[in-house]
Order: sequence, then C-alpha cells, then structure tokens
Amino acid sequence: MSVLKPLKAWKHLAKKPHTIRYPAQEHHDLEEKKLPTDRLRGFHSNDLEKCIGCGMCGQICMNDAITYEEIPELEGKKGKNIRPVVDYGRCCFCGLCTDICPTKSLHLTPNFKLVSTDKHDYKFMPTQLVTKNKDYEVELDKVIFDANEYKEKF
Amino acid sequence: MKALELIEKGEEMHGRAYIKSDRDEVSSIIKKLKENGFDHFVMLSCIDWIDENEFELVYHLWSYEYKEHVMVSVRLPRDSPSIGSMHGLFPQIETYEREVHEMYGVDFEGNSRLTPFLLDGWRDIPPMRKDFDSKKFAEDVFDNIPEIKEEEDEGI
Amino acid sequence: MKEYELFIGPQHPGVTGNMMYHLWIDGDTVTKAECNVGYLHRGFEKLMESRSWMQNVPLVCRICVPEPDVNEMAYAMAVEQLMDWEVPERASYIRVIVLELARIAAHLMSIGSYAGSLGIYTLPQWALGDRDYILDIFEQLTGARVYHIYIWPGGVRWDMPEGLPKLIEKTLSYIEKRLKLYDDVLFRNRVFFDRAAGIGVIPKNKAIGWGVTGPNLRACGYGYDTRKLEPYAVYDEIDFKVVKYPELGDFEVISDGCDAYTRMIVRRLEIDQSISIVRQALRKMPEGEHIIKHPNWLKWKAPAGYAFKRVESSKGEYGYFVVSDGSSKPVRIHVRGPSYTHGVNVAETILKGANMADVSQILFSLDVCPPDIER
Repeated sequence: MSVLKPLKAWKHLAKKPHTIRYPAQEHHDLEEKKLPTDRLRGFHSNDLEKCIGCGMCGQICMNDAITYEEIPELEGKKGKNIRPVVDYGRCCFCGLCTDICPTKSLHLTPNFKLVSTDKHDYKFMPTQLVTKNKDYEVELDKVIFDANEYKEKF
Repeated sequence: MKALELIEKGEEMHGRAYIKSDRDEVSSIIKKLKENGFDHFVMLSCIDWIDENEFELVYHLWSYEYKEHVMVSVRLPRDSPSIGSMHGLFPQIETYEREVHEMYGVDFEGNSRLTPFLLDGWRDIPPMRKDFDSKKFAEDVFDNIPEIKEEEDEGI
Repeated sequence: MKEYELFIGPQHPGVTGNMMYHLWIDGDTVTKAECNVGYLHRGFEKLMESRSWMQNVPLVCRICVPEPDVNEMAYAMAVEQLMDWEVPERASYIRVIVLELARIAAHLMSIGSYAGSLGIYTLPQWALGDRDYILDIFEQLTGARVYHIYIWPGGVRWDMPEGLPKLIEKTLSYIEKRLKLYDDVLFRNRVFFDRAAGIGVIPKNKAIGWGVTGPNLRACGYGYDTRKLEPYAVYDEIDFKVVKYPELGDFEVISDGCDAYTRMIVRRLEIDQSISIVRQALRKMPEGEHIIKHPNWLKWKAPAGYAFKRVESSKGEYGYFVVSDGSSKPVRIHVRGPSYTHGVNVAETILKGANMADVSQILFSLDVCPPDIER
C-alpha cells in the first residue's frame, strides 16, 4: 500500500495519446499504418451478370432489408431477371446473405463510409462497380437507384 | 443420477435430469432437492404450448457437489394458471415470478410483489403468449404516426 | 433526521448502465433500495421465436454489449446439443481464444469503471484505451469490432488469417506491461485500501442461496468456476488456476472476504490467468477443419427436446435454455444473465445500511450489467 506510487501516472503527460486523428493522420510515428482489414463487413457489391435472381438472400435476411427489382435488359439470361435492392436503414451487416449466395456474386466490401443528407440515398441496388477504394467510401454513381439506370451504366 | 434417485421418478435428457410433477407436489420436490445438495437455483422458465392449451413452468436447479442439473416441470391449464410461490426457499425466485407473471399472466399465490418489472403502462394481453402478434402491434402503434413533410428550402 | 427519496436515474455515471435505483435515505444512510429496470428491454426472446435457427445467430450477440461472445457460444452449444453434433478440435481452440480475449476486455472495462466510481478518473481512460487493442484483434479475425457473429453452431465462421498469432502475442505483452501501472494507480493505492475494505459484504453462508455466481462468489471463498465444473470447448486440456479468496497472489489480504476489495482483486488476477490460457491455446492448436457442414439454412429443422447450456462469462454464469418441437423455428429461448440475481435481489439487500457515498462503489464492484437483466 502506498500513497506516493500513484503519482507515477504523471509521466504520461509527456507521452502521445492512443488516438489517431483520422483522416489527417493515418498512423502513429512508431506503429505501422492502421487500416481497416479486408474482412471488415461493410457495404455490398453484387456482380449483376453472375447473379441469377434466386431470391435466397432475401429469404435469409432476418431484418427484411433485401427486396427485389426487375431489370428488363437481363431477360433471357440464366435464372430470373430480378436483382436485390438493399435498404441500409435495416441492414445489420451480418453477412449471412453472402454466405448463402449460390453463385458467390454477392459479397461485402470493406467500404464503410456513406454520408448523405437525403434519406433516399440509403436504399439502392449494389453493382459490381462497387469495390474497395482508398478512402473506404461508397460512391453513389456506381450503384443503381432505378431500373432505367442499367442501360446507361452497362 | 443423484436427483433421479432422490425423487424416484423422471428421466435423463441430454445429460440433465428431467422430472415431471404436478402442482401439489412441486413445492415438496424442490424442498427435498434443496436439502440434499441442490442449493443453487438457476432460473424459472415458462413455455407456452398453445396447441395443447397449457403452460409449462420449468424450475432449474444445480448442485455444486454432484455437478448435476435438474429440470422440474409443471403443467398448468392456460385459462387460469396459478401456483403457489416458492420465494421462501430461495429469495431470488421473487424476481423470476414477477417476470413470468408480467409476460405470461401466471398468478403466484403468496408473492406480494407482483408489480410490473420490465414493461411500463402495458394495457394489452401478456406479450410473451403465442397469441400476441408483435408485428401487428408494431404496425398499429408505430406506423400510425403521420410523416413529417419536410420543407423544400431547408438549408443546413 | 430528514428522510429523502432519491432516484439514481437511468443516465448517471454512478450506475453501471441504463438502470435506475430508487433509494430511501435517512441522513446519510440508505434504509431501503429498489431496483427499477426496463429501459433496455428490446424483446429479444419474442423476436427469436419467429426466426429460424440460423437467422437467430446475428440477433443473439446483441443482448450483452461488453461481452457479446458468451451469448454466441452458449446458443451454439445449445443448438449443437439438440442436433447431437461434435465440433472439430481446431474450432474449439479458436473459440477458447475468442472467449478469453473477450473476458480480458470485459474485465478491463469493469476495473476502469470501478476506479471511476472511487474518483480515480485516470483509470477509465487508460482501461478503455487498452481495450481498443483487443478490439483490433477481433476486427482482423471476425470482421467487426464489437458484434462478431463468428461462433456459429458447429464451429467458427472463418479460419484464422496469417499473421494473427503474432499480433495477439504483441497485444498480450503490451497489456501485461500496462497492468503494472494499473497496480500502482489503483490496486496498491492507499485510497483503495481505505475505501473498499469491508464495504458491500455478502454473508458467506448465504451467498449460494442468493444465486451469486462468478467472481463475486469466488471472492467469498468458494472456488466454483463453470470451466472446471462442467468443462466445455477444450478447457479440460488447458492448465489454469481458479482465483479465489484468500489466495490473492502478491496482493495483501486485509479483510474477511466477500467485500468490494476482494472482488476487484479477483478480477485483476483473472486477467493474468486469461493471458496464460490464450498463450497455451495458441501453442497447442492443431490443424483441421473449422466448421461442420451445415444443412440447408432455409430448411433446417432441429429435433425436439430441451437443451440447457451454461458458460462462464466475466460476470458470472450465463445460461441458455432452448426448447424445440422439431420445426424450423425455436419454441422458446430463455436467456439467464448473471446480473439477474446480482443487480436486483442481492443489491437491494446489501444496500440497506450502506453509506450514501458507497452506493456507486458497491454497484460497480458487483459488476451489474443491465442488458443481462432485461434482454
């Protein structure tokens, strides 16, 4: 038991804090760069050519976050021509939809940033153009909000 | 298993002792188990078998000495479920009985503290029963709130 | 003397979470206490009855915030008991590593918050900062920092990536170095000795009858730990000691046990034991599969039966009671949290006769976690 030993905490005045001031500072001087890992469960990416519209991702989702929209241009390919639309107000980013996908066209990228003042920006159809990028941000020009946009982008 | 030897009925289920009893002998079974080494009361669960029109109360006990877990089960009729309270044996049973009373509507005679525990101002049927539809409840209460129309020239 | 009625409300740094204590005070002493919960009731058990066995896995971890892995583990063990599955050995070792790292993180948070209740505000900041390095390990392994969704019925979701054992070893040596500083600031501090000894005593002969479990029971002198009484995963192949009063290692024994001082020293020593368990598990881990092949998730039916499984969490004994009638959805899942007995009946009994300034300290030393009570 001691009265003076707790004063050892004062030496921390001279040390640097744990906090990294992201994005101005990306790592401490002594540590290697701290980046999100590749396994991080962020926003979805779906390869619209590989996807067959089976509907299993919507059935396994326990929050009813996945609905479907028809794209007429994909008529005639293997499977149905519906593709999943994800509502990110309901999604909990668990990743069960990617584990059940039979063609492995749906997977989660490590992108975790999406900032917008319009609530309709948070419900869209992910495409294969969504990939991991340097800022881990979802670019809204790479996803589809309406079935007519498929013609323009693909 | 020691519990099955003591009470002389019941069966083993996945390594646990499962004893079925009725309303009148439950109290004496639990007292006998407590006096013979089963001194840790784990929890009191209630299951709603709506197709058979019955509630099933399960009392779980554990013995540190024999390393055994016992489940004592009682079936009550769904229309008027009531059973004597056992909080004289273990003081924490009072809280478990309070929650089962609130969530299922089972009456425990002798427990003077059956006041609301988790819910606040609840006026519907006890919510954990199988005939309470929670999706319909959410739609009735929360979807009837009118949407606020945002103005066009809202700046940040 | 005047009598007051006080509400230590749901948003208060002196209470361990979102719960309320209603106190009647005479002068400086508490005469009656009542616990009032319900601010965190989210209806998990009702939600789980309308979802299938696999759909419940992301729900289950959200019941407890400081330590979500024990929920996943107990649910997975109960479903495996119903299905009669055996988990591969490599998966069991990975599960032990995840559970022990979660225990270290939860104990760090508990020690930090306890120090905050005494007024030593340096430690909460240090403890939560150090816990972040453990959350970084979880991000590398499972894909998320807090809600992992990693321990599935039948095994674990993914195998360990390359380079993870080195990162774990680096973090554990860092935490060992920091624990010496914690000893200087809190555990050998004169303030802790004077304020915590003899406060919040649970009578030793009544502890088991009141339903006390976990470190609180071990501080009363009973060496009961679910990992030794009913071993699960691979705890029977790993060598560790159960910390109980009066074997308190390098720390002084200054009271008769069962008080706030002994409970916090027991938690501090359990961190040492957990670090040793993780190192042994990393050395002994074999190669192999990481999960059993699942049936089709949309058509999975579990056989009828009653399953109860318990896990030793950092707060006490965590139990899951799962009832199935042979269909694809459970009939009843009942969660037993350790704080159900600690926070309601035990706290109401101990707080009688306590000094007003010690109310916060007693609650933090019991480690009451409101989501366990109300799920």
